[in-house]
Amino acid sequence: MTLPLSWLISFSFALFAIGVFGVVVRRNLIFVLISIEIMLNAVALLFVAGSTLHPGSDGQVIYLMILAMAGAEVAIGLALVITMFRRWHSLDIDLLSKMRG
Amino acid sequence: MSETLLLLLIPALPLASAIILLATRLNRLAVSCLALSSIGLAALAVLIIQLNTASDFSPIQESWGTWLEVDSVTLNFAFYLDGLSLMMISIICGVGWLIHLFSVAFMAQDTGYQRYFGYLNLFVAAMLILVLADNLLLLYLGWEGVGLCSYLLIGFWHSKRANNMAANKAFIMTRIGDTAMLIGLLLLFWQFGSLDINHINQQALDLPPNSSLVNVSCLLLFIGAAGKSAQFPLQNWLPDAMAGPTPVSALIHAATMVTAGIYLIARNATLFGSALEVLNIIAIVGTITLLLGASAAMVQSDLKRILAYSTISQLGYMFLALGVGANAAASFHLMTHAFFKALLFLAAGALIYCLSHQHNIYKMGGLAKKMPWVSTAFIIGCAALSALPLLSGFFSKELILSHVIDQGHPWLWYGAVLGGFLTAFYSARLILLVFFGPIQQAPDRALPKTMAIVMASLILLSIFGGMLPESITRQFPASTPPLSLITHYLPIASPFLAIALAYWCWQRGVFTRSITSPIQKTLHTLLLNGWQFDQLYHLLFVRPYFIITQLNRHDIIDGLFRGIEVTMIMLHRLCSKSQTGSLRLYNATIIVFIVISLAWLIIGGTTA
Amino acid sequence: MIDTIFIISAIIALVCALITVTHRNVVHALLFMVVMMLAIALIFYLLGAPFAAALQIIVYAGAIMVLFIFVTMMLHQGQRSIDQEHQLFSWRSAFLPMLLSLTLFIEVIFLLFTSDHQAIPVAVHSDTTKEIGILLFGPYHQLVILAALMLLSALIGAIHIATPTKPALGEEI
Repeated sequence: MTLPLSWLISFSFALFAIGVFGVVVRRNLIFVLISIEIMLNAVALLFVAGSTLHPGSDGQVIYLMILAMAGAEVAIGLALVITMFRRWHSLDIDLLSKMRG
Repeated sequence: MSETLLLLLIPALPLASAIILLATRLNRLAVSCLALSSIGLAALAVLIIQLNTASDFSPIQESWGTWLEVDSVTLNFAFYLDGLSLMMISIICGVGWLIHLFSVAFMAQDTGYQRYFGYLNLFVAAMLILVLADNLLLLYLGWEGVGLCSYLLIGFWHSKRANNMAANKAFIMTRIGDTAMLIGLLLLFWQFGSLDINHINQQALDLPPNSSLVNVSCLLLFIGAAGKSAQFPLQNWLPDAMAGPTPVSALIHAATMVTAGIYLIARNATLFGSALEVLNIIAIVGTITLLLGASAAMVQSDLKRILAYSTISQLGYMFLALGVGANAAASFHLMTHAFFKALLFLAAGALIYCLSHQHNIYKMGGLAKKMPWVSTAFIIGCAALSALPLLSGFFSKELILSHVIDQGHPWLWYGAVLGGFLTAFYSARLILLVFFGPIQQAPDRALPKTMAIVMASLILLSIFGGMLPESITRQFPASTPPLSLITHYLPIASPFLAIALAYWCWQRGVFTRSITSPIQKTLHTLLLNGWQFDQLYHLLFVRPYFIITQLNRHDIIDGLFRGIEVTMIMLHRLCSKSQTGSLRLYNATIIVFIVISLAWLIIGGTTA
Repeated sequence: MIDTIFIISAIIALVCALITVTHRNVVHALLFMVVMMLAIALIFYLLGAPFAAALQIIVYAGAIMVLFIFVTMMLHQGQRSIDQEHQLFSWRSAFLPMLLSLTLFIEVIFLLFTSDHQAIPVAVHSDTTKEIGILLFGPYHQLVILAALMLLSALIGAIHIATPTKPALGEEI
């Protein structure tokens, strides 16, 4: 049984586009992090599809690394979210404009 | 001692003493001894060479060492002595020594005594290098050296601004000539492959006459000579150069530096001989200058300015002689002019010294009885200047005039004779106003013995200098061309007519009368300002320059750089606006950029 | 049949993602995200990567999402947060970003369809776990070390950042 590669790639990129949409439009910091996770998932999907396409399991190893990276990033991101909440009691990212100019 | 060693010593001694004088502090006695002895020893060396080579003379060549060595061209500090340069160094060292002696008395009270003698010795050294140089580059070195010393000595009393301006003017105007000369040197090098004077002159014989390159380079050299020797149109620095001490005027602006231009052309006689157009130009310029100088000298009130214009005029005679190919006559007149003009300047210096720095001849009068030495000196000097018979000036001027008419230039001859008439006229005017008539200012100081001795020596030279035996003036052939009655006797008679006219005017008080009619007034002003060349140059060059600097008031070139700066600041402000600190904006910018890049990739056709 | 399953899971994943991104309630959004990850895990399994599918569920949905939920628990203030969110997200302001991501998607699809592509066989590998293990201990062992280091630094960083600083007298937090 075969699956057309174009389907996979389109699906992956649709997911990625949704993630991009989320990053750009949401003002809550947690939602931005969630959208970033969606983008990471989309890319991981591509890698696994690649591992199936080519002989060997290298794609899955990379998927593992992506996973590790996502975990590390979420940990630190959420720590920053906590710090922000402690400072402003709100998660609006427009408050993060101290680097103006 | 061998001649070559003497030849090397002659420029070296004044140079060494100049360095010592300018670099150390000595007391007055030491300075006088050092300065006088250096020039004296050089003069002695010249005398020895003269005596040794009286019977047979062949050119001597010697060098201090190598100067430049580039590819196949070698230039040395080499000196070359032939008849012409031997005559020149005799004048420089002889008259120079007399002037040094005079300066000891003249500058006795001056605070810059040591500096003065340092500069003076440096000048003599540079002039000797110029005259003795074997190649044109060394000559140019001496040329620049005398220009420098002239600047230093004109502006010697530098606390007065007018003196500085005069020194600047002299230097800048001669610089214009020097630049032309340098270009001429480069052209000569390009044409002949070397700057050796003998080499160039020999090569010039092989070329066809009137070739354009030779013409152009000779013209450029002549412009250099005209600058240094104060010819039209670069002549108006010389009257202002009288701001320096009078012995300086005697040495530099009468006997030596201003003759450098004539020496240059006489030295390269063969080269100039094949540039016939340039010779015509030289003759015409010489005539114009001699008339210009003589006419301006008629109305001056400053004693030294009369002598300055007179120098300009006499130099014009020398250039006229060069222009018609009479190099021997020009050199002869150079020598006699050195004698009587130095005498006149030194006598003027003595007069100024004794009258406590009074320059205006209208304020002098009747000094013949009070100052016999000075008046005798002046009268003899002016007589030689006017070419009265049997004095030295007579022989040289007659030689020039006879060559002019012989080569077939009637108009130039008329101009020269008219110049002679004017020369006698203004000389007589000078003597009558200063030495005869009622006394207005009596001399304050007595004439120092030194000055009297110097003047006496120059008086003798002015009288007998024209009759020096052939062995001393070995450059000059005795041949005088045949002349008709008028051409022979008119120039002899015209000075007497001029003197009579001047006496008649003086009796009538024409000289001291105030001028009423406007035509006379404009003419008088014109002549008084040396035909208004200063004003002309101011109009032609200085005013446009000032206008340009006014236009550039805000400094356009700097504005370009300031514009860059302003643009950068504007761009910075513009770009700073994008640093809003808004996270969403940054995200959005990144995504938009990615979209645009992809679009560009698609449209660009590269899908890789 | 595998096509059908794939399409269904894909649609589920896309819909859940959309809802996640546009929902106003954080907790609901997180739950929808977990569903999305489950759908993706299913697709992994279909592609013949059971190890990846397992990891997706265990690590991604099980650990990372739980981290999110922990933090939300700490910071969520109930109805007040949801109302705040109404302020912060509106469909009017979402028009241009939607256009942007749509453009991105269309561009990539265009690039995709103008190049030649092939079909993927979906044979199920056997012993994929063993193979991955061999790879990890073999050619990719350095990656493992790097990942471990990265996690360690993330751990330390997170602790450091999230530790509350003792405020000095008069200084606001």
